Amino acid sequence: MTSPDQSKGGRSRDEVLAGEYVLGVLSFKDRRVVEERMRRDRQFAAIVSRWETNLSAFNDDYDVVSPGQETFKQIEARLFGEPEAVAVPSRGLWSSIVFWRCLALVSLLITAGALTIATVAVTPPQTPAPLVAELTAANSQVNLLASYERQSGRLRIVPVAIGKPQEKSLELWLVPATGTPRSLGVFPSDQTGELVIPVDMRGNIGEGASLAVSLEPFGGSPTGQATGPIVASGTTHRR
Amino acid sequence: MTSDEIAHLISLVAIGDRKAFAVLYRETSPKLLSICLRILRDRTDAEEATQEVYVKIWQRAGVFAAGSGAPSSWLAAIARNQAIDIMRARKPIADELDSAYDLADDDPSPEIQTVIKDEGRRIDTCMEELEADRATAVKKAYVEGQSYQELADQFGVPLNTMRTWLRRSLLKLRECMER
Repeated sequence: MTSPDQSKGGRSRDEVLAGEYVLGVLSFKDRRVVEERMRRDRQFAAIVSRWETNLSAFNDDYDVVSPGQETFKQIEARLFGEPEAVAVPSRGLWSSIVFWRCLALVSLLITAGALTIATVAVTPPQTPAPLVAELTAANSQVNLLASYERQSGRLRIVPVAIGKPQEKSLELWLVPATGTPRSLGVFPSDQTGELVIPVDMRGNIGEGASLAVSLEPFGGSPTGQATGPIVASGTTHRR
Repeated sequence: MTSDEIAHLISLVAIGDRKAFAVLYRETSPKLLSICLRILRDRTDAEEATQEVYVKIWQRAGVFAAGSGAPSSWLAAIARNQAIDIMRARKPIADELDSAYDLADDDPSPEIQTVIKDEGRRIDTCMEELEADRATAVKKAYVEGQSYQELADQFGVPLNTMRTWLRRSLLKLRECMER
């Protein structure tokens, strides 16, 4: 399957291919080929989405089955971490790839003398909230959000999108040697700087994989392709 | 819970609202678990797949919030895709898209409109226009996530026949819904 074929036969083929994808009869690899096509061909993506809508009437055939008590706790633990593990510094992606260029950015910012304390959280009496500063610089696409927990003396710095909250998001991309970048997820606004990589993408992130962060509309790219400027990129390697 | 209420919950999840996420899970997980269970046919596998599904829902809620469509279809598609991917990864079937991907052309293809337009008919009406065994095969493929080979075995027809059945059925369904 190469470029979109505009002929009538091509249209029929696209309808069938999209329908086969939604039915689920394609192989694992062919499903990835179709998803790649969806990312770069909006019209084809619309054909897939129309089949999804059309065939969704079949969803009435599925009953309801209550999940086990533990399932949601495990989901929360995977997304937000265990409650007691919250204060432990991340050993995840962020720490393993030299924090990309953020450290360089920090020193740049310091030399520029452009640090401004943006917001300082009020401390309630019972559970002291962390002190928070948004580090900014002119002409920068990202800010650095520093949060300081006075009790533990721990300070965490995570990159955040510039602009008002709920205006922009940072999205992480896996950049293949050829083809378009594939989204690895949008950094959630809970400011942990952590992302859980989708299972089907994990196999693709090995040594030498190129990662990039782009600035996107809030919630991530609406098209599935990077639309905003790339604010940082780098290649993974072992420490 | 209405479609609008679920859509609202998803938009809250998109901005990181964990409470809304818990409510969304409570309201929708029985259906999504059922989807995973039907396709994977194993309770433990289905529960694990459901975890993946909600991790994806958390991560992709912004994509839904930015787009349109029914929230139940969006959620069901994530669950079906997850379960089908697990199934296909576990029991590989032949890749076809590298080889020549052509429809049997001994039957003229119906005209397909280039413009994506609203459907005049519901799928149920159009399913009734298919031959009964083909309609059953289409529905089994979707609901149970069966491969062409599994369907061919069940219906006692050669693999290529089953392929032709489903591909032509898809074209007929499309033609019927655009009529």
